[in-house]
Amino acid sequence: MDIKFKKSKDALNKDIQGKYMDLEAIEGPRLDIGKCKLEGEFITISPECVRCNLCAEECPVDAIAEAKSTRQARVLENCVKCEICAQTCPIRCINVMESTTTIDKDVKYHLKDLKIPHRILRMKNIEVDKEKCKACGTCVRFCPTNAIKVDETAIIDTSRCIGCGACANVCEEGAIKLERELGPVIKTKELLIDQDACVACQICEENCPTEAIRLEDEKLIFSEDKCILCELCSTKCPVGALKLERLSHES
Amino acid sequence: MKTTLSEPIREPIPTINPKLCLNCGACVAACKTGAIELVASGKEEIHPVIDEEKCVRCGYCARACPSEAIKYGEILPRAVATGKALVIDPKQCIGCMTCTRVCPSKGAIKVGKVSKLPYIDPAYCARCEKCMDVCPSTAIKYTTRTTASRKFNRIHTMEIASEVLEKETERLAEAASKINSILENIANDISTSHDEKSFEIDVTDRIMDEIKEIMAKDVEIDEIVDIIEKTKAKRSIISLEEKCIGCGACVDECPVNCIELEMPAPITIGEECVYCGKCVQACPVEAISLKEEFFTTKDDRILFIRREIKGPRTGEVIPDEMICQACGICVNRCPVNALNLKDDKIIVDQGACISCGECESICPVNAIKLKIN
Repeated sequence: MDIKFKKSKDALNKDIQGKYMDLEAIEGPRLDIGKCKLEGEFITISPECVRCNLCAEECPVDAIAEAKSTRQARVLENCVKCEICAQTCPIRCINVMESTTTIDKDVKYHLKDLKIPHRILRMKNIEVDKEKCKACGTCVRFCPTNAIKVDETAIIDTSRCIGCGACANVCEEGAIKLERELGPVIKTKELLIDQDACVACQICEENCPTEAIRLEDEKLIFSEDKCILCELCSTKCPVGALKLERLSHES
Repeated sequence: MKTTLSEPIREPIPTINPKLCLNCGACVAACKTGAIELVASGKEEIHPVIDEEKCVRCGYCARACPSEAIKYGEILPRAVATGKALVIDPKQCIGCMTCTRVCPSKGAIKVGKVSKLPYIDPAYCARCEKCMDVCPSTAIKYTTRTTASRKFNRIHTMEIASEVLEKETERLAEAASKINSILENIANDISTSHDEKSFEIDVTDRIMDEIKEIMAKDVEIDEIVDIIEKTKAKRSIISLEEKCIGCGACVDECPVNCIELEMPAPITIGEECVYCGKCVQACPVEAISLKEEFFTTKDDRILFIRREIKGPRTGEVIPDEMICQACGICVNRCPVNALNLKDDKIIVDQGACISCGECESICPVNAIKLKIN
């Protein structure tokens, strides 16, 4: 995915005016925004979502609202962009979109989805409880590889099953038992720490969702195994002492 | 007609907790407008009382109180219209955030998302000077209120702009993630409404229109660089009853043994078919029709193509190690055992491969590409 959008600057100014609130309001918003460039990252879930809820299970900060058979999984506002969900999604329907917004004559948005490596996922064993199965066919609708057929009960073709667990998750009777193997999270980024630049403001410590970084005697102590490589500390650090860099994953 | 105006809404005055109050009079001394008095009546002990009319809601009393008995709301209203105000010089600020921690008035010192440095909102600042005292780089200074407001205004507008842009980009990303299902719907629609053997349709405008429908009105599509990367070719096979002579030449060719000679139809092709095209080539009377439909790009336009496959093809299967999740279903489904899983990586035996494309179409994460020669 690689797509560019644009919007007139007048429309942007109108939006800013609508949001502007200042108690003193001597002169209103300053709409002489010059050339500037903003970069961001967004995690979105495509409608192809098979409701397996593996993303919600794996999210370290509970930022994904679980999918139901009637509604796909949804990324919540507290997402820290660690990208673990995108690595985990068994059908690659979670996109990590890199955005570049430039303001010049117009406002231009460039969205590009990043190629995120996948964790290993493999079905070990899957069984349908014939007593419980009511052959309703809900599982068939969500199976991403058409591995299920419904006769008197659901029958799963194990050669096609990837172990995503969508069927087990949507089954209201709890008739499907799945055992699967899920590989470790792949390290795609690295946190670079510049101790000399640090001003001991503690913002990183306050924001870290996993207590992976803390200040001790004005020095940053970082525990790599707790870190989920999210964007919180590096984007909030006021002095650029923390930088998150993407490792190149060329195979 | 008679209109009566109600009293203007005012912020609540600070509250004094009598249990904590030491009746020391520090608040009386701190109050700039003489709104607090120590009162004693016959039954009650001496205690401070705030005059609602005189109080300007500046919050000085709350800060002066040694026993934290005075609670003051989180928002300080505009108290002074002219005079001096505090500003943080971004050039001198080292970003230590000490000021944000000592400031007693929440909302007075904000931290910019763009600059990541703190800045003071003069409307909320009560000039208690606590931040000034603690700032290690003497970046906080007095200036005129007008200058302070102007400086605040500049940063504040930029902050709003970045917030607006971020929200908008998020909505666009949300819309962009639906493009794949839009493409799928278009493919299904064209596929069912056309029965020609082969065709080529320019679908660029149709795709643009459908994407526009899910976007905000004032946003336009500037350029589509690549949106079809995740789409897959779809194939279908049918046997033409009127042509088939029931010779059985196709049956032996099928690598998955899914063709049966059966009455009343001369042959039936089962669901296990991998669309390799061997039967099409073997058929002496062209009674099997194998079709392929896919999106492609040509000179910046997106085309939807249907074409006939006349026989087995040659090509190369290219697995993407980075995306592959090693689930192994391609290995299971390969009709000629040309794929193997070794150390969680797919190894392709290109010599054995018949380029049927079954692995490409079954891969749940689009990690396999079949490059047809």
